[in-house]
Amino acid sequence: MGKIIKVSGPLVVAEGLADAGMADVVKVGAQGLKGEILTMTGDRASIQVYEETAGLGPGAEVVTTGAPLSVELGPGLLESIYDGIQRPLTEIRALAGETIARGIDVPALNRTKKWHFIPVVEVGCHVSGGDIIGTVEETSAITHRIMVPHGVEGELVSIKEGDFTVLETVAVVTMRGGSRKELTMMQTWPVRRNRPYKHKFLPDTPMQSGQRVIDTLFPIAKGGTAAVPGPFGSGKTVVQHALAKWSDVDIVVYIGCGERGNEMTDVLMEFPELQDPRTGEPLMKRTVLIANTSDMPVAAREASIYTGITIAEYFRDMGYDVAVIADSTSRWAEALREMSGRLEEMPGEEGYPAYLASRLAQFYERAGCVECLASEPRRGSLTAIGAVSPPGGDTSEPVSQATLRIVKVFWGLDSSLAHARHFPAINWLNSYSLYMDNLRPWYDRNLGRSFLENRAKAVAILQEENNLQEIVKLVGQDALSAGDRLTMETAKMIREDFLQQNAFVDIDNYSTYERQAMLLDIILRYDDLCRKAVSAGADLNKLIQIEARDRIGRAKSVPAETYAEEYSRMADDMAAQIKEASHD
Amino acid sequence: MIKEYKTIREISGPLMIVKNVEGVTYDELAEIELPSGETRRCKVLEVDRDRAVVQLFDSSSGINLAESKVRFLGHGMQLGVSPDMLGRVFDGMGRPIDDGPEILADKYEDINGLPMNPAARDYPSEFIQTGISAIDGLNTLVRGQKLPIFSGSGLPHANLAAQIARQAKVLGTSDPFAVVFAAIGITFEESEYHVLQPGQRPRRGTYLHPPHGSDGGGIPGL
Repeated sequence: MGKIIKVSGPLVVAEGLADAGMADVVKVGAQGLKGEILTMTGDRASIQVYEETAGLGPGAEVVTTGAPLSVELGPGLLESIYDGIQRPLTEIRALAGETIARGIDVPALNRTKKWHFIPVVEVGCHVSGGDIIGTVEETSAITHRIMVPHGVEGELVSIKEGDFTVLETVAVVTMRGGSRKELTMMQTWPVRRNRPYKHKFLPDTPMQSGQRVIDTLFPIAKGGTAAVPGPFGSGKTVVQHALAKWSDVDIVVYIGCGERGNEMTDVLMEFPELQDPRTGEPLMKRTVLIANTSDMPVAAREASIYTGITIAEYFRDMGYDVAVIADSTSRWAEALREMSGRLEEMPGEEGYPAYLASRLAQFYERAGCVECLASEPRRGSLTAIGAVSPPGGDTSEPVSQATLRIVKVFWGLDSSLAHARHFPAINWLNSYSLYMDNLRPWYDRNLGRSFLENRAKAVAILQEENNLQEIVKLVGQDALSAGDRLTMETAKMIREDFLQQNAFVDIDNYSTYERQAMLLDIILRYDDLCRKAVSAGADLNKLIQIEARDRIGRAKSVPAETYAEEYSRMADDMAAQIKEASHD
Repeated sequence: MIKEYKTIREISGPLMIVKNVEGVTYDELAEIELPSGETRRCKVLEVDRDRAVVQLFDSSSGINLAESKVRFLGHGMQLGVSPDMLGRVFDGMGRPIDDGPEILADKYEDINGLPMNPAARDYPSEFIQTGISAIDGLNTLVRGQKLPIFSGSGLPHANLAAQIARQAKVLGTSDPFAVVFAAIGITFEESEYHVLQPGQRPRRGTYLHPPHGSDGGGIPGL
């Protein structure tokens, strides 16, 4: 047992902790505040405390729990909202009311709830770490696969079906040495350690988000990493929420890290009512929320990212596609900076610790497409998407730069687009996705070769528009040739009729890949037909005014059930009208 | 028993180091008594074994290292709260500065509060009418939401803030609605302007004022 010798904000220094290990979780003071050992010098430990330290002073007791910061993994994770160190906020509310009292300790997984366990293996078989021994219908959308904890290997001597709590034994394994190991549905895992897997694959499937600018122009692969940097008010949170809602993954872990409490409330109120377009089940049934809002203690903010990604890895190990969405990693980096300052470490750029980049890399590297560690083949993926809030929107600051070095997709939000009410305000000129080459076979197989050709055309037209705009600024619109004016018109259609997408309109908030491909194809066909007509001498003004163009502008609001017929009719009418207009 | 320490070792600006202390805790409130009998308040920023780093809320001028006494009060900064605070004006330490009587506290609250449980929040959806069309029509203020006003020197943010404080109300509900106006580091003229807003104080509103123009640690709300 140790004694505190120094308190400075969330940092506590204690002596007499020779029995504690590095990174152990300790209980500090009479209230038993949770903390984690950061450094050890002799028997003196620096501890970051996850709760407000007011009222602590030298002499107070510090006791180690002997284990590193770990999360409980088992049925009951889904639909929950946890704080940064996996305390269940709904249960805390039932116990302590509207605020989070200090030192409150509630187990992360409900200890009394019974889950119906169905074995999938039989007595006598050989099991090892990661093997699925049974399933639990955790929610109507997700089957929780109960796995053998890592490090356990041997012959299964008993397994039974029935209703159990997470701590009751469901199976018994005789280990190689002859010892018996009782397995429950719950396991724990230290958050700062990656959960093992057999091997990693290069990602080869896009994560469909239903957002046209993302899926078509800057796609992210399942198992990939992406960053969304953007200044205040440019719609980072709306983009993140849209991804959490519509991505075609099985599980979403949403980490609200140092952001507004109301944004978490938004998720909590909205997700149970929204339907997953693929399963028809409420989105909440596949979601785990981690909340460390801006008024909650800063040390737990540092932990929240790891808590979230460890839970995500656990579901990945079951063979699911998982997405971790963190809003915002800048707040996390600031928490890191605050602790580093208290520890009197040498500050790096803008006061961030020198290890900022390596910590960020460690987080994003836990994403990936993997062959799970198990006897039978099983694949899972973990996609990590982080928002970055650079002060003043200037991405030359350390957190943005360190993030961009690691992630392969960059969705740069732009405040000038947001001011112009172009949402999602993802800048099509400076954003990028480095997964295009990996995903090419998938696109060619599923959407035909024309999709990537169209995408390349659209990108070229948008870039050309940018160049032409400079000329227009200098000498005016009239100086442009008919062909260049057509480019400007098509670019406008791509921007307004395709890239703009209203997250708050039911029909428009989610768009399938097929629909995106078809809409882009119509716009580019318009360009193509008009270009031919113009070079044959037609009047561009008339071509611009055809009625079908207005209909393309409204194409976003065509209901999902009838869009295919509607779009092909639109394309036919457009072709006829262009023909007519060029003959007048 | 509260101990008095005469072991101030160092003062530098608003920071002070007290040696040989015992049982002092982080964020604890303390009082310093000058030889003249005057007391000033301060709080603990860091404790390291028997050494406490203390931040003064007032100026440190006139503090004599040998003769001044420091008392640690055993609790963090608290504020006595009561519905009678409506319509009154306070300084940054919560002391009335409007020549009215002392507040009889119903209860004492820690000024740092506790973090709100995100699971217990209700999503803000009620409109607050400020009566300013540019705000109500375009950038609506919502109950339970927070909105900053960005301003610069020479711009009339004080007038706008006073106008919002004066006119804000929630329509269609009889729930109690109070305005707390915190003016931090403003000049005498500005503070008089806010205090003298017509017809405002009797209706509602508690005003927290730091000492005019000084840096005297303003209390951030209730």
